[in-house]
Amino acid sequence: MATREAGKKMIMLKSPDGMEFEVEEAVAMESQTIRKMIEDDCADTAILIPNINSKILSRVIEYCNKHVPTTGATGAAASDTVAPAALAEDLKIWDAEFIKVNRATRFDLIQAASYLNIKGLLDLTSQTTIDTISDNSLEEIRSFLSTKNDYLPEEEQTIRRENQWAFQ
Amino acid sequence: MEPWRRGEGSSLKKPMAPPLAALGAELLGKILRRLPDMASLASAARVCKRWGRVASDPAVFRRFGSLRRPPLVGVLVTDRGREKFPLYRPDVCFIQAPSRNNPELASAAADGDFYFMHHPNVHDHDEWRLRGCDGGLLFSLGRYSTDLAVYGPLDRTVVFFKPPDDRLLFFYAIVADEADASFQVIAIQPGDDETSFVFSPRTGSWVENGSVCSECYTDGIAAGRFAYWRSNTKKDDYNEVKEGILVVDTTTMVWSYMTAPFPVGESYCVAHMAEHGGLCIVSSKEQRVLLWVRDANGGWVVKQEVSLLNQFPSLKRLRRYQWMKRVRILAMKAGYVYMEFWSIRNNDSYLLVLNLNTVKLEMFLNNGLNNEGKPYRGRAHLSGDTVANRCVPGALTRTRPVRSVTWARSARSWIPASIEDQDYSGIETAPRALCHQHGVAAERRVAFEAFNTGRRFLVCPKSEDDNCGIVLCIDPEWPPTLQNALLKLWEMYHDSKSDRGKDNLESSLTIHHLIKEKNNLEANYDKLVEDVHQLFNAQEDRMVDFSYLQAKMQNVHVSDLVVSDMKTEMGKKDAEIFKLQEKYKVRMNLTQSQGTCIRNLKFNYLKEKEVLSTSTRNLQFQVDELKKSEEKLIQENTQLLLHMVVVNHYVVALSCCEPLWCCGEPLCCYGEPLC
Repeated sequence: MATREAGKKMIMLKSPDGMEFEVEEAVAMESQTIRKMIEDDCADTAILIPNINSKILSRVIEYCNKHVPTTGATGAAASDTVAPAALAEDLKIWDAEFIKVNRATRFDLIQAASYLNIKGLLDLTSQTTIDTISDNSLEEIRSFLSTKNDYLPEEEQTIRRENQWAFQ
Repeated sequence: MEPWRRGEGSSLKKPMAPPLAALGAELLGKILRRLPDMASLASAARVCKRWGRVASDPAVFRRFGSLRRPPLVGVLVTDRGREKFPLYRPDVCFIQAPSRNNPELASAAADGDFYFMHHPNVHDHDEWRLRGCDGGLLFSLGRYSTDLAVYGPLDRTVVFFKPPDDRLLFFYAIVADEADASFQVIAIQPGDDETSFVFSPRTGSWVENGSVCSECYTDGIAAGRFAYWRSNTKKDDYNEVKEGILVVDTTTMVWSYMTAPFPVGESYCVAHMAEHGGLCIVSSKEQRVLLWVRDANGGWVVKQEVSLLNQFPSLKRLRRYQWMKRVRILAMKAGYVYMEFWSIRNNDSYLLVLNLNTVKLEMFLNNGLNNEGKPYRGRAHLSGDTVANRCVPGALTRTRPVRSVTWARSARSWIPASIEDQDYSGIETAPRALCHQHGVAAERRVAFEAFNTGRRFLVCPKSEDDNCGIVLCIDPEWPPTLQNALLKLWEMYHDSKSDRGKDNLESSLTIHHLIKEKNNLEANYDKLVEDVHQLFNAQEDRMVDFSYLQAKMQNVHVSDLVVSDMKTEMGKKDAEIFKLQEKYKVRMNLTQSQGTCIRNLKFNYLKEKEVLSTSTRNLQFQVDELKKSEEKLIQENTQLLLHMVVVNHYVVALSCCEPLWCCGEPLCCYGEPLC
């Protein structure tokens, strides 16, 4: 259900657990998936975001709200008073704070960012994952990913030998 | 739209799904693509099976293509195409790369089928000639030039195909994409505006790819996604010639030409270096390695120069003690330059690998039996002239894992060469020695090969095709010391053989020079003979001239006689003329005297004439006077007449009435009388 409020078009987003979020169209358009839906006129009723629960969706909307003024063409008042560089710096700090979440939330965020196609959020979340992978040992990575090593010992030995050259 | 199947609130009921499973393969691939280097990708591949699969995906793997530096399994040194193999391949030689602590590389090198011998579809008598290599794939032309094959020596996969046209001459280049193990083979024909073809295993057929002008007579070489053909222009002291390079970009299939920035005759190769903005050239000059890159104007500029002798003291020592002098660039791949350090004075060369980024030099080590650990010594003088035709295969790639397969050498068991020995020959009579397959008595032989030399053995007596191999070895293996000694002897034999080969080469060179000299001399002799002939001709000409002079002299004598005759005649004539002149004078005198006579006579006549004319004039006067007197008389006469008339009138007037007929006729006879 698209409504108008203070001259801005509002979009209703609905999570599978029944929560509804009313956001500005510009904020919702941060997501390429939703943008496409709006452009295709599929968004006349509330948009159901199926596999993102309300907790994650609220975080995503929070991210989009923060990032809309810098990426959107219709800049908010903030850009008039603060220099763009400083603004970007602020945003970086904010991003760093934003991503300090437990790993389950982070993976949900990656998935949500991927599904909703929000490039900035996807970059942010996957880069943190990448940093984890490249900085930690194999066991740490596995525990971080809370995944089991499903290789047989000899299989792992083979793959380790095959890829030995990559470390030279 | 995506099927949204999960019911509302499902995630509330269930605990959070494992995060890893939640990430789709595609999303995971996207994330892994952000990894900084190959090592982290390799770590990620070991996390679990699923990640391993995703990490091996070509789409992910390709992204690391530019970052990775594949290890070198080894180098194939060949005079590409000139020698056939598998069986007769004295000049195709695989040299294992220094493997350091990498047993996998060593096993790959040991197990790789680099000579293309062990494929079921390749028979011993097939002649396959190596024509190119890239990305670990070797490209061969075989079976009497009617078949082509691209094969991976490590995983032993083969793609067989046919040339575009059996009747035409092609020069090929293979360009491999290591990420998905695909390749393309490009075929060009020498000449102006000849059609080129591209083969790719996806389509399995040749596709025409426009016309191209080429003056190249060698196969092409891959450089990244490009392939290039050198023109190998020969040096020309009189004309300025340039080395032309024909290049094709295999992604766009666009042809272009480059000109090398150095004089012709220097060894070089082309490489694709993204960090230097595309195609670069590595060339050698003396003992320096030059890296040429494009400048802003599209010209060539030396970006890096490595002086081998100054940078690496070990090479300086080689230079001093072994006369090593020349550097030949063989290939350039992934930032490494493969070179050969050689000398015309030395029989064998060194293989060097220079890392251009770190300027570190490595030497290939010998993997032979007796020289383990010592530097590899190649043959400096390959038959044929071309450095260009040597090639270096790429390294093994992740996508093609190495299998540690021990393969049978051949379907038939190996029989060593043997020597005729009177003490041990003929058919074995002992009953135990029957051959395995045929069950017939075996033949006695004495081995004459490598460390088996002198060992007696029994072999199947059948001819070559049916032969089922060795039956039994009579002698045990020789003790290691004897084996070493035998090997040493064989080595010495081969050395002397190669020395003799070299001597032969040298003497054939000398013979060639001598023949050249002889030809020159012959040419000189011919010229001399020609000159002498000319000389003789000239002399003869001169003789002919002399005789002509004599003839002339005779002529002169004759003409003298004639002249004297003529003179006497002329004297006579003169005398005659004199006489005639005298006669003429007499005649002249006569004529003169006659003339004077005539003149006198004329004068007399004139005088007479004058006298006569004066007398005539006098007579005229007299006549005139006479005429005057006559006129006077006439006048008097008329006056008298008038007087007579008047007198008559008076007579008439006096006799009026009477007709007057006095004087004959009346004066007025018919009229009235005058009144």
